[in-house]
Amino acid sequence: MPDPTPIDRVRDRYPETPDEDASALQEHAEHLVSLRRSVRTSQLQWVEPALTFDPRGGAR
Amino acid sequence: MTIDPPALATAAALIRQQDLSSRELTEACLTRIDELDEVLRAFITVEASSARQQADAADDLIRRGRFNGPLHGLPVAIKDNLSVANRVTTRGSALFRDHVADDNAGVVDRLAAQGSVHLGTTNLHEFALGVTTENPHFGICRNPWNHDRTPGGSSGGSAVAVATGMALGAIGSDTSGSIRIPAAACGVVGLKPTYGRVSTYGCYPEAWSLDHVGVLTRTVEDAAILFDAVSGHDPRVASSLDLAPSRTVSDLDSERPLRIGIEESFFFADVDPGVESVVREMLQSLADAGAQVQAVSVPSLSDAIYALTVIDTAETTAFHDEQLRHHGNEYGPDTRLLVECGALPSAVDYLHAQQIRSQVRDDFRRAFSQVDVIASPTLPIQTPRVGEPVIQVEGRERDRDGELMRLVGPANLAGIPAVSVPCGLLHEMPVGMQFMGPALGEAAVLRAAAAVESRYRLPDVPRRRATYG
Repeated sequence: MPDPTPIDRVRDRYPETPDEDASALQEHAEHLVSLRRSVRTSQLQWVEPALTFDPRGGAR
Repeated sequence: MTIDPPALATAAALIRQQDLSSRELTEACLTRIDELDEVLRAFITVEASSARQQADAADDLIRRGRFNGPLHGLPVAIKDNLSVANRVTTRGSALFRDHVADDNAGVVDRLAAQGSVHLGTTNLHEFALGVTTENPHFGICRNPWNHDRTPGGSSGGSAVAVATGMALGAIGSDTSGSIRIPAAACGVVGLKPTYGRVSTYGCYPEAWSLDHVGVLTRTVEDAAILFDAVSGHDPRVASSLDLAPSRTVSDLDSERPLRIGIEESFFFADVDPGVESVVREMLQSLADAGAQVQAVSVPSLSDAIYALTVIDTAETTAFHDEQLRHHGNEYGPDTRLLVECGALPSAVDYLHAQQIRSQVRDDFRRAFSQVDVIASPTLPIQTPRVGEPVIQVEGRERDRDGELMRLVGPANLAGIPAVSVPCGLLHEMPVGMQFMGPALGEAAVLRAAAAVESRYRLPDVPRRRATYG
């Protein structure tokens, strides 16, 4: 079974996504992959994400 | 005879001295709107009748020796993604064309408490999800310097209103540059404050962790006045900083020499040569006048575009999820696509992006231990034409929206204050210079902007061009 295309993945969430959006979604997906590959993930393992939860005041 | 609307600080002084009435000022702005807005489309709703009533009430108080605050009687416009109680707040969307807000946005309450006159609500990119203000439902907003050019966005209407004197100041919102992009394109001052410094209550969300509310004005002093008036804690918003309102106006006159940082590898990479030349000339002028200019490093900026792309699209999609599923056919094509794009990143992508954000924040903090501000062009390109999604720079094609957001997004990622100030003209279009400062360093970025303003004052938009393009 072939890998789902970007528009297939988007249609999982938004079934009404029109065909006309397919090429732009493909382009964005390729851009995202290219950006992801450029990230130095080896330097991230011990970095705390900029998300914290404060039990006194709710999510921040 | 109607007057030419003066700068906000000048108008405030004239009103205080009773040399000018709020009604005269308000009429001057309404006249400009009548003259220009059919073409420029800066406003979605003009509240002429209630503005006149508010102006008359302000004048009545003045005659009795009472002033509500520093904005008393001054006509201000509000971006139409900020709720105004009992008024239509469209968010630039056909879905909300008739939506009447129940209560005021936090910033609208502040403006009212300080005595300002509410002129109306300004045009924006649909849902603030874009950077051109080419709104398919309420009209294409146009740049008053050249009607064929975009005013930028998403707070394009606010910038156009201020640039043309349709309002003395305006409120905007900024998630990936939406105040500074139109400020640069239209030749006005645009301040995005520190994250949480101005209430986002009642501001229709784009991306919660990147959303900021800020100000657009004609001068730096005006920006300081308006920012001081609207800043402060709002307990209804979890991210609101528990701080008293700012007092930046009094800091603008500091004599201390500015220390300006230059980060070359991100903020001056692939900048249009004409824009770069204008910005570097201004930097040299600032150095000649005594500013200390030195190189700084923010290494994690190389990953900032990835982090911004993931966080902005994922948070936008999370917010719009139900609405797009049920009303996608009422979205414009570009905003629908943007919300769809946010379904592509994974949870791991989002968390990596938040790790990068920690690095960017920490790298900026280290840089600001050496300098007061970091300077850059606001936009790396010349102002694009309306309807031109791909632009050419030195023979290479570039994505317009990516370019417009490229140098302004990092300040949203780090939550630090940033201002755009006009620093020159290129091919008869304004060029903006950006200053970023440490968290809560609004006074520093405004002081740097004031130094630019003291060396270069952009002329008013020529009336003929504002009218005919």
